[in-house]
Amino acid sequence: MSAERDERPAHETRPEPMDEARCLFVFSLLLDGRPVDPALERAARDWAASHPECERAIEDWRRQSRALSEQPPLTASAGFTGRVLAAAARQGVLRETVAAAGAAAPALAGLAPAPIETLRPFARQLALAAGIALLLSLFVTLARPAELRADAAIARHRHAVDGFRASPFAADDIAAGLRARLADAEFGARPGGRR
Amino acid sequence: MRDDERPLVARLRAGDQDAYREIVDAYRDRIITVVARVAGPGADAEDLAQDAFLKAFAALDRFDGRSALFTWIYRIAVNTARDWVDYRRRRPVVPLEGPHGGPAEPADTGALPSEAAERSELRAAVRAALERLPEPFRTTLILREMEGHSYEEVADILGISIGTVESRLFRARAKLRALLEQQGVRPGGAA
Repeated sequence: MSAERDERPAHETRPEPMDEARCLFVFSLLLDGRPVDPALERAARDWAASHPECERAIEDWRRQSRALSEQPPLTASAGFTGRVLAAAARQGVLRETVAAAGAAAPALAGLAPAPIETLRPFARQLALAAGIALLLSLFVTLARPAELRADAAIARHRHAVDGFRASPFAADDIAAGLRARLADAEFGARPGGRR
Repeated sequence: MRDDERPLVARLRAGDQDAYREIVDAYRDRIITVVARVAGPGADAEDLAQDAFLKAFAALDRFDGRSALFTWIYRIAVNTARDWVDYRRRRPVVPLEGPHGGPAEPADTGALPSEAAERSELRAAVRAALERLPEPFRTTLILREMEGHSYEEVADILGISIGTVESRLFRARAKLRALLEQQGVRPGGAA
């Protein structure tokens, strides 16, 4: 309950002489069977007995109270529960783990979210496929001719390397060709040694 | 939370759909009735009640068990209906027959009707006056007089003190009587 400020009027919370508002407040409590200080109740009854307007108001309250309590209650239309549960399933507000002891509601057939157990095998297969794909990718990468990438001097001739890779020559031939190219003055080699 | 509700709450939290069905079946009529009364005419009570159930299901983790499960769902329903009333006030729809859904039935000051007819007439007049009663007096009076809740329950549902419930009921009764008099109706007899 919130700590809302008490809205009781001052004439109720202060010990003042009886007046119409105070008298009616006391009778409002008495109508609902609330406990009232006996002296206050006596004073209110005395006041009401000597003030016809106050008595009329109390009688009116009794009648309007009865009229309110006689308002008929409503009943849900047929299929209300099914509609609520179907809407709950559509909006995903029902819990996922469905382990009902009895049969599941017919309205929910096909609408309930998939239990986690049914998703587990699929998740396992997906993880296995991803692992295999990763291994294949690693194998292909590692299987590429290592010497073409390892030799820093050859790497400087990257454009030529790329050209050789697209050629039908074997890796050994390509490496030999590149080394010859390194020693060739036409490609910037200094006489008598490496660049 | 009542002890006998613990297994049901545990089943709801475990996702047992039979438990959801049991809850809706058990509380639907009372929830529909209270939202219809609080929201007033023009509201689709079943739509609002459905909305209240969905909110309760979605907020199940926040149910701390300090009140009974029904009281908790009922509070959500009352707040859902009050929100609808606020929404309608901000965006009023003027009905064809007038701003208050048509004039109230005038009191028959002619020939004396039978007691049953008189009470039926008074019920209609009180219902019309209740529609004009301002918040928060209206909801407090509905919960006490029409729904039959104790002061403690009304305080719990509305989140107010018992003293405030006492005060609101006193003022609501006085205002309702004044509205009936404006309509030319005297609950105790002829105007």
